[in-house]
Amino acid sequence: MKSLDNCYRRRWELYTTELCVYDSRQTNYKEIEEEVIQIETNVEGKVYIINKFDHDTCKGLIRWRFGGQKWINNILVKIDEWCIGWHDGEICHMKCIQFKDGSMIEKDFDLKEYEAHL
Amino acid sequence: MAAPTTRFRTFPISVTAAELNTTTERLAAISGESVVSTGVGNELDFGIVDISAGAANSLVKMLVWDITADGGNTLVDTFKFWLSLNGFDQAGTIVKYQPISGSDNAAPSTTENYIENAVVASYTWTTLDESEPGAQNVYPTDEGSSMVLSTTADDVVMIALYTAVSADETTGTYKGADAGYEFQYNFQYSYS
Repeated sequence: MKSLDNCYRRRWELYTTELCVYDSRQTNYKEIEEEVIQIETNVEGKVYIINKFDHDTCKGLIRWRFGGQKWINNILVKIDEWCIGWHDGEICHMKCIQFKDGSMIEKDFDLKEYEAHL
Repeated sequence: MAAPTTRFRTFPISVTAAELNTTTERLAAISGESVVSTGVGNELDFGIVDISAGAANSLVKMLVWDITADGGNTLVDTFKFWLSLNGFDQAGTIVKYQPISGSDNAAPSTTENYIENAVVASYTWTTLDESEPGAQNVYPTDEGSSMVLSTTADDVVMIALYTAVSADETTGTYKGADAGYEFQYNFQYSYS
């Protein structure tokens, strides 16, 4: 399995095309040649699903993760946030999921900043 | 996929421009480089700034960030760097920064070419944000919005920094989470 380590046993994504379901622990999203129509993210027992057909103005699904480090109340915290969502050609409408506990908040991002992840 | 493994480095400003004018050189060990981390002794040390005669600037310091293991990912982008917390009492005490490229970038725009033994007058500076910037604010040396990963990154993000200290600033040692003397940075990127 590709890049499977202990911390990913409780965190993974499933990418659904019209024909197949791919597991993020084995397949990089960008290496899937068919159009992905659903992303299912499993983090710490919580499941979040984005389906292309749930959004009338959807022009495609998009996903990335945030890394880095930040300080919260003088404690250094590793940034590890998974973002899955869809875009309308201008705005990415994302569910941002915390790696540690699976909590989620919805955020919008300018597609221009993230189009490399398409 | 796992998260990429990253590193921060600094190197003496006496390093020559010729030592940094290819991607290969910037990714390899740079003469005199040392790791920058939150560990004691690994801070990016701006040294002593003497304000006994009024406002003063620190020396110029260099910071380099790159990826050493891709974790199964192929791209990093939207690099954001900001001064997340500081204990400065004076609004005029700020950190200035400038993204830096090597001289192999012949037409720098969002960066400036590295200058050996740089002083404050050597670069054009921007005040470092004190909250998360709305968009990418530091750049790889080719000024791209992203870096391609193949085990390591194909480039580095290089930043020149200095601290401008106001005349009336409270004296002391500013570092890490020290109460009243905090000095902390955040760095965020996206990857896939």
